[in-house]
Amino acid sequence: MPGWGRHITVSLLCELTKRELLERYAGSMLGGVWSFLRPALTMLVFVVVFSNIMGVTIPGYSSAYSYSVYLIAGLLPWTAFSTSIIRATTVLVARRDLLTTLPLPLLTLPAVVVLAESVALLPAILLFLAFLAVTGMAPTYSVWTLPVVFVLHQLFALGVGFLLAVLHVFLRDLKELTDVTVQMWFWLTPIAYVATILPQEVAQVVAFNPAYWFVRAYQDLFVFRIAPSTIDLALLAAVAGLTLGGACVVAKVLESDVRDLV
Amino acid sequence: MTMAEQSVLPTIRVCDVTKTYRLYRSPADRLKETILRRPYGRDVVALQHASLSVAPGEILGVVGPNGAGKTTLLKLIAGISKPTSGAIERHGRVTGVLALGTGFNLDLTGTQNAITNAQLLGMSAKETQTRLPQIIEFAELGEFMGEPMKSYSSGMLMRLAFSVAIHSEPTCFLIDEALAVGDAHFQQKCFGRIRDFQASGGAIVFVSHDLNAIRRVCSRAVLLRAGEVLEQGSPETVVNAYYKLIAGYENQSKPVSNKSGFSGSYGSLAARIHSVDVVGEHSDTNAVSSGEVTTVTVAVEAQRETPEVTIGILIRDRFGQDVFGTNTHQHNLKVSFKAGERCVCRFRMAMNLGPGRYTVTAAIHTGETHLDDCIHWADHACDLEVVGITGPRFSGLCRLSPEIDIRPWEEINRAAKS
Repeated sequence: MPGWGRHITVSLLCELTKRELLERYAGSMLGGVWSFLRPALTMLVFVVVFSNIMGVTIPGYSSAYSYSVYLIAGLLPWTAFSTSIIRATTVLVARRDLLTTLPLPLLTLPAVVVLAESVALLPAILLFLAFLAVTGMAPTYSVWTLPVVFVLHQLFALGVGFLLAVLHVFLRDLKELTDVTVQMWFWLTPIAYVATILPQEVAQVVAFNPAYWFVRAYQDLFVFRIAPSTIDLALLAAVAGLTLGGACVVAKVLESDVRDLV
Repeated sequence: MTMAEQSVLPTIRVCDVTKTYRLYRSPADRLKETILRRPYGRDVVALQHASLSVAPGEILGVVGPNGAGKTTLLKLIAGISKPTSGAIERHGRVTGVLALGTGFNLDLTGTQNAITNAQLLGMSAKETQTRLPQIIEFAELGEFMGEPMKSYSSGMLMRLAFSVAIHSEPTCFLIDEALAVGDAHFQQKCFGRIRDFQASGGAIVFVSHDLNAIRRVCSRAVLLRAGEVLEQGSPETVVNAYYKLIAGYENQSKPVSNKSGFSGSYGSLAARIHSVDVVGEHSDTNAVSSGEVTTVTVAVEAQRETPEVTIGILIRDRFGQDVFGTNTHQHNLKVSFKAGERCVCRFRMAMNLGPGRYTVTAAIHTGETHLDDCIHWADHACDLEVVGITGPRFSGLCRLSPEIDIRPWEEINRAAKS
């Protein structure tokens, strides 16, 4: 359909993301400081509880902070990933004011959610890297793959989130369903525990969990200081690409109805 | 594209567009339909085979009863909704009332909201930065721009919204009558700005129930009914067609049965006013344009013999002010009835009134006024609407048809001397 809808422009995405982040702390006294303060406190709690009080460590890894590092390495990106999906799911319905008044491409809104969540994670990642550097566990040159993995991971989140967002317009139960499913997904992904403790049968299932492929890449990077192989990266790219592509196809088919029904 | 080509191409072209909404009992039925490939909803046609175009510098008026598809048409033109079949071509940026103030967040400041809103309307970050001062100046919000928007009045909010929209350099601007922006001063400013926009080649689509406005500002109009383009052409013809349409509806819904059943009716009733009608020479309805020859017909039925009576009419404006009254006595016409006699008294006059809504009251009495001996007074027996102006425009309540000439001072002085 010529002339129908517009293309997503980078400048609009940036503006809306900025706005989203501004709104997050609008009116609070400390404002943007919270984006550093919150992850800092969370990480402090983990380190104190797991390393100093409980003394949990990871087999084959000597540092006292090993479990904390392992947990944070998986949990930080998982938080961005899961929050992106959960918030993207409802975004089309929540921002129907925009969809019903502007020829905005549908993908814009979930993309803004995912971008905002990604940016919101940066302070936490920086703090985490600083902590690793201070405790002498800084990742080596392999750290260059971190942005690549993270971008692919968030594109994966965008794919899942966009698909759910489109379906949510027709099936409002998806909001609750997504909340619950994402929680289950968390426990099916070795983030809080190590994969080796899993019984054989469960481990076989978990091996096919694409979220774990991403999480494993972070754990390799931060805990074991190994960069993911090119094949791993290609796999991650394929997961992200296929999911996002699939979501776009579904959205294309349902777009007209989304706009009329939202 | 060269400028010449651009001026020839219509800004908006709607080609044979049909829009059907599928209604479902629940939105989930839409998914079932796709998956199970069985129909679960029913179709409602909002627009069918509509074709129209808007050229640069043109104001297209859209009129029609509720549910005619006016909003659907606006949404399709704006690209918010997708046509079921047919095509819509648009050249450049289309914006307007639908998007006024979209995405405003009351916790953020006026400036922050203006920037986001501008970019939502399609401006780039750079364009927004360069035009922000003009936007702020036009909105006349000054110091308030730095304040959170929750401290704004609704008028201030609309002013900012309109200012952003008109500065986003659209090629087509969609307006509906909801465009009541702020106080009278700002409204004038808005309309002035819209006129500038039109003069510089902007196209406008204007949806309104205010037929005066349609006649006054539009260069062309379309009449929609039940999703179909019923009439298309000059505002005059379209507005008249609309009046006929409404008249047809009203006849259906309430048959003419005001046999002395007027709301404020009193008198000795020796003779009764049977009915009162107002018909314009061209419009054929009680909606006439200013200056149009109009006939007010008073049908009278005498019960008893009534010698030397006066039949009169009185036109009042919407505030109940007497605007004009006349009667047979003032015209030295002798009228008297025999018992059972029926007659029709016609007042033909050029309706030299300013546009607006009026009421017509008719009366039968003796002498010059009804105060002496009132036979039948039928208050608000009929409505009259003056819509638009034929001939030169004017302002105010009455049309005095002046002749105007302009000469050098010297000539007047010379005439005075001689």
